[in-house]
Formats: sequence, structure tokens, C-alpha cells
Amino acid sequence: MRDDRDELLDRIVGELKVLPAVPADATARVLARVDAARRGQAPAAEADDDDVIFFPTATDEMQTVPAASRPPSGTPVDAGAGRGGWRRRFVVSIPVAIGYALAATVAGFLIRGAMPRSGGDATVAKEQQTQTDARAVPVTAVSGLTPREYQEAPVAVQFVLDAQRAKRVALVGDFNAWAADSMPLVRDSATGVWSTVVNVTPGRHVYAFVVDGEVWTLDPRAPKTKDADYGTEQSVLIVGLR
Amino acid sequence: MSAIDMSIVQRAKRGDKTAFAALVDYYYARCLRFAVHMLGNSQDAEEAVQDTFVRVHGALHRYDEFDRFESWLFRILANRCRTMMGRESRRSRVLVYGDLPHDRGTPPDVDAIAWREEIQTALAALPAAQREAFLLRHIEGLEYEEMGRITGAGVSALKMRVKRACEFLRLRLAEVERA
Repeated sequence: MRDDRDELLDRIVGELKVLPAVPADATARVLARVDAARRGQAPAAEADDDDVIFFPTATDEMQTVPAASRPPSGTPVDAGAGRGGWRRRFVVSIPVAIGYALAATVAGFLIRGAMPRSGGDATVAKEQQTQTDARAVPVTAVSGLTPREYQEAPVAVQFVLDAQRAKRVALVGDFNAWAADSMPLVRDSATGVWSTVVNVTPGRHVYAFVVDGEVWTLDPRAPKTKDADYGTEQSVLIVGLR
Repeated sequence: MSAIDMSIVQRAKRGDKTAFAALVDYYYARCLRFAVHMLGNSQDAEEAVQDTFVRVHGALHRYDEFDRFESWLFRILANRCRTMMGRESRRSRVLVYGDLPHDRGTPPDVDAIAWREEIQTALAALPAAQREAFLLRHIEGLEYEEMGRITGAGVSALKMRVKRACEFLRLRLAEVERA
């Protein structure tokens, strides 16, 4: 158990081993929630609660969007009300990307996550108000290229981060050599939502947001992976061929 | 802390509410400690632990008694923490003194407080997977095989995570001591 412990590490471990005080009503609250779940008034346990999730062992492994939050493939999901308005949310996945590609090829439509600025629903879940929210939405534009050039051409992807208290947000990823100053997001003053559109070549990309120059922030709606060398978590974006 | 009497787990599994309450009482503080260290603030940690026990109750029928209950419990807790890390990672993970309830009853000691804060800051600076592995190994005292069942990672990967975490903590806190 000691591994390579020394005096310093023993002191660190000793400090961290101190048990926190447990609120007096902790067990009662658990039991009340169990009863509520039994009566169907609260979310019950999920089928895979005791399956290991996240932190894939293979560094290149894709994360699966939990079934509970997964929309039908290619279907925009109403994200509910935001502070300044409703939005559509897209969960980026291979089938979705292929869906976008097919739609753009066949119909030549512009596909874009819509972000109207008004008309919000007042009943906003607390979580949605307080969470920083982000997503990357492929938006494709049709241009006059050969079929192959067209298919392999970069796709405009909108990156969005709802970070109400942030003073600045930057996008970093393999597509900009992780340069924190090259792709700043622009804040919408009405909604507090930060966004930018970046042309990204088809394929798999990893990215993250850097908030206020120092807080490494993942996209909660995107799959996660870990950097093979440093173990840093990153969000994964799959851009399909058009 | 020794493992809980398995008869309590078996009774809880059969639907005995008193036995389930005993399970919660027995493990709550340890779960809260792990969650506080993983998530960096007591509010999220409380939520994660509460969720964990509700989910444990709902999944008890699936619990295989060949698996150590503690490992199974921590697998669910670790999952909850990971799920919450998306939210949590968007805030500072640095624990503010006073956020972690303390039951030692010792009078405030400025040096001890500063030292505790430095440890929390260093811990928060670790990559989540290393922090998790370090806590499971050195704070919860689990074996690597059990940690593998909890995290889904291989033993060698976990050993490397623990080793790197130890090196990082040593380096950071040795600097603090020298300053």
C-alpha cells in the first residue's frame, strides 16, 4: 500500500484522509430521495449506474453520449430555455455528421444551429442557468468545387460556449496547434453566449475552450478523450465528409 | 475502516430499509471525502454522494456479492463524480478553506490552514484521472485490481497515474515548504 511513500507524501495523505463532517440529515435525505424515486417523483437509478463510464483506457476511444441525453440521430434537440432565449442543440456524432453531409450534398442547404435572441421560457431549470454550456455545431456552406474537392473541403463548425461570467474565451484544438490566442470566441451581449465559427477539415479533431486565459473547459455535449502524452482531457469533434 | 458486515448488505439487498440506512451511515463520510477531493467543493460533493446512494439503492439487486461492496459503491460514486466533472470543471476547483467541513475540532492554526489549502490546490491541479487514481490508492486504500474495476483502467495505467500524481504533489508541495 505504501508504494513509494515518503515523509512528505505521508503528511499529504494524512491531511487528505481526514474525514469530513457528515450533515446530520444526510441519511434521512437519501432515504427521502429513495422513497421519492420509488414513487416516481425523482429519477430512479439508471441501468448502467454501476458500469464504468468516462476516462477511457484507450486514449483514442470515443465517448458515447449517454442514452438518456441522446437525441434521435441527426435531430436537433431543444435545449430548453436559456437566459436570453431558446436554442437548438445538436449532439455531434458520426451519424449526425453523416446526416449533415448528406443533407448538404443532396439539398445544398445551409445547416446551422439556430440561436434566436428572444422569446425565452421563464421556467429555466436551475442547472441550465448555472451550468456553463458548450457545443460544436457543424455548419456547411455549398461552394463551387469539384465533387472530390467539395467532399474534402473544410466544413464551417460553430463552437459555442455558454459562460456567463467569463471575461474571455478562446478555442484551442489540433486545428490551431492549441494556440490560445488564435481563435477567440465572441460574446453575444444579449445572451452571454460565446461563439465562433471555424473551418475544420473532415475527420476527427480534439479541442477545448480556455476561459479567462487559464480554465481548461471541455464541451459537455461532446465526447471526451484524453491526450496520449499528457493525460489532459479533450472534447472530440467528428466532421464527416460532405 | 474495515469493510462492512456483508449481512447488512444482504439485508439491504432484500429491501430492508434499516439495513440500507446503516450502509449509508457507514460509508457516507468516506464517499463525501472522495467526492470533495474529486470535485473540489462540498456542495457538488454532497450532491454526488446523495445521487450515489439513491443509485446504489436502485441497483442493489444487480450487486454481485463476489465483488467487494466497497468497490461496487466506489464505482458508482466515481461515475457520479465523473459525470459531474463537466459542470465542475467549468468552475475553479480550488477548495476555499471553510468549504470542507472538518471534524477534528482543533483550533484554527494559520499554518495548518495554509498547508491544507496548498494541498487542495495541488490536488485540484492534477488531471482528473490521476487525482482519482491517487485518491483511490492512497486515501481509500484500495488495491490496484479493485481500482481497475472502479475506473475501467488497466493496472499498469493506474500505477502510472498514481506515480505521476505522487511526483506532482511532492514537487508542488516541496516548493511550498521551501518558500
